[in-house]
Amino acid sequence: MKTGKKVLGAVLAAAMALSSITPVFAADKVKITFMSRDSGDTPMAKVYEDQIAAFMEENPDIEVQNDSVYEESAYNNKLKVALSTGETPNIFYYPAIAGLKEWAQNGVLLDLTDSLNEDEEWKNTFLDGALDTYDLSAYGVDGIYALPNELNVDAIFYNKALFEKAGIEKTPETMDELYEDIDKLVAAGITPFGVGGKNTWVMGHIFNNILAKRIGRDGIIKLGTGEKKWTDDDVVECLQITKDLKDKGAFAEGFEGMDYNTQMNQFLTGEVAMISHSSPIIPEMFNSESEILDDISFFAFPYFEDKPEYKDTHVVYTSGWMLSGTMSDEEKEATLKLVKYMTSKESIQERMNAAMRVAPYKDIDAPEDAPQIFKDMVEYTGTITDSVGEYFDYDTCSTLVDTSRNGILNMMLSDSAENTAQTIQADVDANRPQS
Amino acid sequence: MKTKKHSAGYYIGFLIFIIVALINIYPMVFSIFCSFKGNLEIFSSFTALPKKLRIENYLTAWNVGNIGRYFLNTIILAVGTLAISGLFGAMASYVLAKFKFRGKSKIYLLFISGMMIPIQAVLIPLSYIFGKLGIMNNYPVLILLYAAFCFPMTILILTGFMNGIPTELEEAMVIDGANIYQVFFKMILPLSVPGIVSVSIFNFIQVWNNLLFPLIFISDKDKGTISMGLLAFFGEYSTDYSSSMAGICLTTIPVIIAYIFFQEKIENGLMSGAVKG
Amino acid sequence: MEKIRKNKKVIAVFLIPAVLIYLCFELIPVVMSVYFSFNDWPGLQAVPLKFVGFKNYSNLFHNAVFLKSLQNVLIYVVVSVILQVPIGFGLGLLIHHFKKGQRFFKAAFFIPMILSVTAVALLWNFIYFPTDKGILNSLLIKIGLGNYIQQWLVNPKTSLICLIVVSTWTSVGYYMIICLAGLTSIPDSVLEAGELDGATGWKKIWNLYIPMLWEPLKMSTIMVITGVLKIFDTVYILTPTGGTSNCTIVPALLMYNEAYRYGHYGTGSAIATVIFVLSAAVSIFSLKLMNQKESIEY
Repeated sequence: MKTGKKVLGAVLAAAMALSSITPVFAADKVKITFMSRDSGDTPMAKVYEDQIAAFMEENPDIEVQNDSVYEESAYNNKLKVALSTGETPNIFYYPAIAGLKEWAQNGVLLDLTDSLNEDEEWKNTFLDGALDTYDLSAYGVDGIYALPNELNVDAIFYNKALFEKAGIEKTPETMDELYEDIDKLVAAGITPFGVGGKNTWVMGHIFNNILAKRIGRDGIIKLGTGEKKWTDDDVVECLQITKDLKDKGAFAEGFEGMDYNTQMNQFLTGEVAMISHSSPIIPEMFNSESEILDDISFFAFPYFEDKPEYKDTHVVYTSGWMLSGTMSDEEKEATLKLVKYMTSKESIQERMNAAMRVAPYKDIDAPEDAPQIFKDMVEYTGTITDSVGEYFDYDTCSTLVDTSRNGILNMMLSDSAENTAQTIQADVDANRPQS
Repeated sequence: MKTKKHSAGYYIGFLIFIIVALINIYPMVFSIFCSFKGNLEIFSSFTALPKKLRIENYLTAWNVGNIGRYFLNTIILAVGTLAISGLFGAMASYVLAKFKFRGKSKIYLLFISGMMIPIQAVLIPLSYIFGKLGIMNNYPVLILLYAAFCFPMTILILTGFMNGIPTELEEAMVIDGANIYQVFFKMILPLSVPGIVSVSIFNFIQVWNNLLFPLIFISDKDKGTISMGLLAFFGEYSTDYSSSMAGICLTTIPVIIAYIFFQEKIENGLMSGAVKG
Repeated sequence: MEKIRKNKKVIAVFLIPAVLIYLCFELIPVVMSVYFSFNDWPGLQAVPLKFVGFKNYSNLFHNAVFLKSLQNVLIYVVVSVILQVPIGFGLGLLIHHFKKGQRFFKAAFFIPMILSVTAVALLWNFIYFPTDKGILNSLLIKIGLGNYIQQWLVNPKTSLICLIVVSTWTSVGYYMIICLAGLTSIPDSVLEAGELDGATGWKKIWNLYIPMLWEPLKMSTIMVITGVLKIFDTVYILTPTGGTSNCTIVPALLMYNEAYRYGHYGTGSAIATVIFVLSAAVSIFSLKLMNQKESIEY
């Protein structure tokens, strides 16, 4: 094995020699990376490209690299590897709130409090309270660690023609009314809801709405911080209500195995009367060749008559931009410049016009030529005063999202609500970080 | 063996075979159909013929997926990988198959054990090292990386192949005055062509379909690969099935055509290269 | 010649390029990954590794999901070996037999291999579609077996086998090629001598082809075993969450989730190490088993 050792030695020496060579960069331009989930052919991706190009034209000393990746797992891989190597993108997106705690604690994310306070005008462009979404002080880290950028407002989208066909005159406001409408639709031979159960977030979102309407924002936050348990009666009840929807015939036969794209296509071809979804689906629907677009409208998720206090709690998912916490002063300056450019009123309006996404900024109006449904959505968003996000966003337990969603799907198939609650609670107990 | 009359069983077998083969081709046909349909049309009936030929799907795929560029990039990566893994792999296999030295079986096992390493397991350490050395977006490095992951299979197959080459042939050549390098390049390598070709096909597919490596080690858009290009169709709120199918067809059909060409080469190589005593 | 075969310099020249590349790009990272498995690490450059000894491993072996994933992958391996190698080699032998249409057949069975995983998954999603619209279900209804329609990928009884079928479908073509490559390397004279023995049918396969093809058979079996033990793509795309009640979860998927979704890099690395050790053990065991039968030298 003598030669073997020699070879190994040579390799190690070579590796060490290589690692001591520090790469030399051309220092004339500040290079910053921008990483969003909008890439490729989407309207939003095109606007981003244009805005970045315009920004670089205005600032020839800054080079912005757009590293956006559309597909979720690909995006996730890329981001996680970047974080592990310390090559944190200057601006990126990640769907979490409490989950940001560890990153914030370890200096991966920039605390935006000072930058916002220094520029009152900029701070004031955000909707009141929107910045609080990413205030992590409830989790023991002071500071604002992301800028809200888009709002995904949950609602039930429905097909007016099918509602009429089933003899439904007005959209349901309470769950009991919804149950009646489900019966009517079933009686008329129409599948009430399109659900792509295979993408577990679809059932997860329905459950989240039920949770919001029964335990409210406070309840959900308490669930996330551990003050409340999944095995508590009111949470189990929410699971049971979700499960009962299936027995009421709300979903298509075999929905557990269908994917999200099937659900969308069922809705857009008029096979099912409703889908539970959020506002970004509007541009996607108008991107399709569906013939029923004029028949589509939406209503807020119904409330429970025995819980009127949560009637106005609505589910709104905020997606935000995080900024790297490990930037040089030069980079930080350039990055903030880009962020401010992208959150200027003109930029935001431009994106809304092109991509029909609801944004958490003041004085932004739906464009004149937008479809009515989008105008309604913007108006509806303006009326929301009490909103809550995804239940697992408030929990530092990183496995909760999968355990709970898988658990809910298993429950739809066979498991009981009690067992599901126990499984989820056991996971939280095992995997929620202690400190 | 040449002009034997075949039994009825032969023909029945042949017929079944044709049917099975047709079923196997069906997915490709299915993809081609879908590539001409609209999104809603695909879902309204999976198996129906397209109502009209939507060429625009292909235009979208070409423009959005940047397929032309990515195609070329992927070919460059694949050819580089096959050259490195084929040559160095064959060299190592030759020594491992025919030479005698201490630690031989250990080195062999070390190579073979690479087959058991999931790609995801090395992602973090590798990106850590690459990031440190500043060698992201670097084709030569990426080719070496791919080649490293091709070695286990290459060496497994080629060692097996070379074991089957009679030692008398080598000895005869040495007696005729050839040195060991001539023996390798003039006899062993040509004789191993079938093995090299079959393992290269396998390696080619690995490189062609690999998504994780380019995704993480290539951030420069102009250096992207096909698998990255196809990803552009899979979004958070919708998947553009028709364009992605068009993209899939655009990338797969040339490979199939190349394979059919390749087939000829394999057989020719066998005819001319093999020394059958 | 014997002297050359022991010449250290020659050996080094032939071996070093491959060894060097392999070391740098595969072995050293793997060793690093094993090292990670004894630590807690949230995957952030700024956070140092925290040594925790065997904690990640002991947690794993008390984790029901992980144990389930081991069980699943072992079933996957056994069934795949039973299906893929015999079918692949059977196809190879048959194709070798059919002089007519050989090229067409080869291409036909090889196509599934070259299709991208995305295309394969999309297609099989339509085949296994859970309602009577699904290709498989509608076929069952047409031939009067309507009672047997299933939510194929959701039903815990059928989902794992459904995945195995997809894997088999995509990979038999490759084993067919290996078989053909093996067959062509057998001198005609040997085959003709075999023919002259007058052995037919199963006997011929057993006495002539199997011993002749023993090396490629061994290789293929090892390839199936190691390939399946680290299987990820097919499972991830067809049952992204690991199926109903984890009935299709496999270690590589779990590893992926732990590291890249939950930020548990230590646990993820520990799973990677287990996959590696398991593959090595199973392969060595099966090699030992298969080495008991000697191949024919020609």
